[in-house]
Amino acid sequence: MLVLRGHEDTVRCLSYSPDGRYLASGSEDKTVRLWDLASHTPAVLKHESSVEALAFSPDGNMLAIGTAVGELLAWDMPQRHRRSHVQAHRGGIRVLSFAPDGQTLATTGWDSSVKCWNTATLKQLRFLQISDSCSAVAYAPDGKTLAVGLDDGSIQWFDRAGRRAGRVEGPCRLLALAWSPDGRLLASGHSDGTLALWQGEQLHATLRGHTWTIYALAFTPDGRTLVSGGADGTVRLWDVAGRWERRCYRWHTSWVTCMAVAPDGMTAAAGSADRTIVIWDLYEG
Amino acid sequence: MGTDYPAAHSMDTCFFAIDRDGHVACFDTGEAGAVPAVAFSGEEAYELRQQLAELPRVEVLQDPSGCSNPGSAQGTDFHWGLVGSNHPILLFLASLDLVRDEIVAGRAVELPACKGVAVLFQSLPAELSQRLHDSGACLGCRLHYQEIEEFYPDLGTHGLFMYTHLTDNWISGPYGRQSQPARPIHVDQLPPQIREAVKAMRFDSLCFAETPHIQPVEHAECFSWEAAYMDVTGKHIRPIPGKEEEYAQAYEELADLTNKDDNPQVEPPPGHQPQGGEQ
Repeated sequence: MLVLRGHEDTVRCLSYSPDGRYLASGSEDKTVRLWDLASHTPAVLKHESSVEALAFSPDGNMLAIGTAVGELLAWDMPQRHRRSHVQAHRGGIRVLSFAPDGQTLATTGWDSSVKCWNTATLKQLRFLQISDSCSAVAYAPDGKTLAVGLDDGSIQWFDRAGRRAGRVEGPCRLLALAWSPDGRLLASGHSDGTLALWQGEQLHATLRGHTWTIYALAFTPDGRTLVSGGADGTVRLWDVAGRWERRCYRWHTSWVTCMAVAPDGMTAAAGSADRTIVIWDLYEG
Repeated sequence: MGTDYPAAHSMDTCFFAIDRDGHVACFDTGEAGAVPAVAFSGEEAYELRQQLAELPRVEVLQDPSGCSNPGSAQGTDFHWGLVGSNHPILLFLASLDLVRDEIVAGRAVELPACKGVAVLFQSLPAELSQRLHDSGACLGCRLHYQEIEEFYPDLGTHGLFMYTHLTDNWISGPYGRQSQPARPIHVDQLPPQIREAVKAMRFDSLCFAETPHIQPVEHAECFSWEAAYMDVTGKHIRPIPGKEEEYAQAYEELADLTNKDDNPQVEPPPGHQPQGGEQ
């Protein structure tokens, strides 16, 4: 287990570069830290406001960043050059997700909308007005479906043209979404600690263990393990096929806000309100 | 621009804070309640209160801790409805036995409570009040205005823990928990601007769900009109840091008021020489 220290406020978001060399972390301290995972030293990219969401593009050439004032920024990687930015959402960006082809990026904000962007130009391609506020957004691995999680607990699916293709009601407020790598399962994390696995519009399984809000979910690349973290301060590993909790860790002194699994599936990282990032071996012990 | 001096504003305000778990609480100061310097926002606090009132509604549990001064021999010791009231009164009772008929007749409503039972009377007849108090059935009662919701929303119904200042205007006393949400809001469920405002004050050593009384002076630099504060045990009165000179002037009067029987003990100001002591 490795603890990365340096952020001066809550760590809000994490993303591994596709080659696994870097881990990007965004924080309420208004910085992005780009951790070189060989030396564990960070390069610091300063911003004007809290960094709420970030993600590497699938080819690793872009780091997309969403801020608390609603700015969407594109950084060229590995040059670390801020290429462009756009005012994307009123009230701040909550989550962003790249389409698998890297051509499109979806964002959701506190203004109850979902927007899709051309990643090369940051021009808006599509606007989805949602009735309730959206808390999560995730492209399916085939790129044909966009799942949107709402604060009312429901999940809606949209096709490439922005048409609503389905909807299910969750148990309560939804704060996190993640697709399994084969696209067969969609995991949703809720405010009562419930973790739901959906197969299309059918509830496939309900996993209980967290005692409070789940804020972060990520599948391993082989789809066999789901990693979750949340307000109860724990990180949990779930056996997806067996639907049981494999491990429960409590490293952080505060709640867990974000999660990412390394591209090789061997390690994962969890960020926390205690300002640290823990990286651990998924197959230890 | 000149320094903004809080004493120039009304201190009848509220402030927000989070605990070690990220729960959110609202503290109503009355007037004399201490406000952590990092959480003081003057009129903006009311704006924030309105924004938080847009959160989804949750069940709220009334809490007798908001009627209880810590350290008092009787425990719960506020009885606003002692002689009856034409204003809405919330009574904490051991059981519903003595008010069942009032509830059936629609003159009272039971509210969810975290301890015992809570019963709301829009007006409380003097005779009934006397019966409830003389028999010892009333564990504590307080005014409970619901009609000012529009102007001063009850954030307990929106997932916040609610604390109120307990000791009126004679001293900066502890805050008591008036209600607990059945499902508390977590700070990370709030939009960034609100999140930033409520987490400015963080009680890192406390969990609101387990803490019926809080004295902010013991946790952070605070503003207050008062020079003295009562500690969270209710047993000691001390100077608010930075106000020792003012405290020294008020010391004799405070000591006369309180240093009797089981009243809180007033600590002498720094450098104080007892009367008749050596110079």
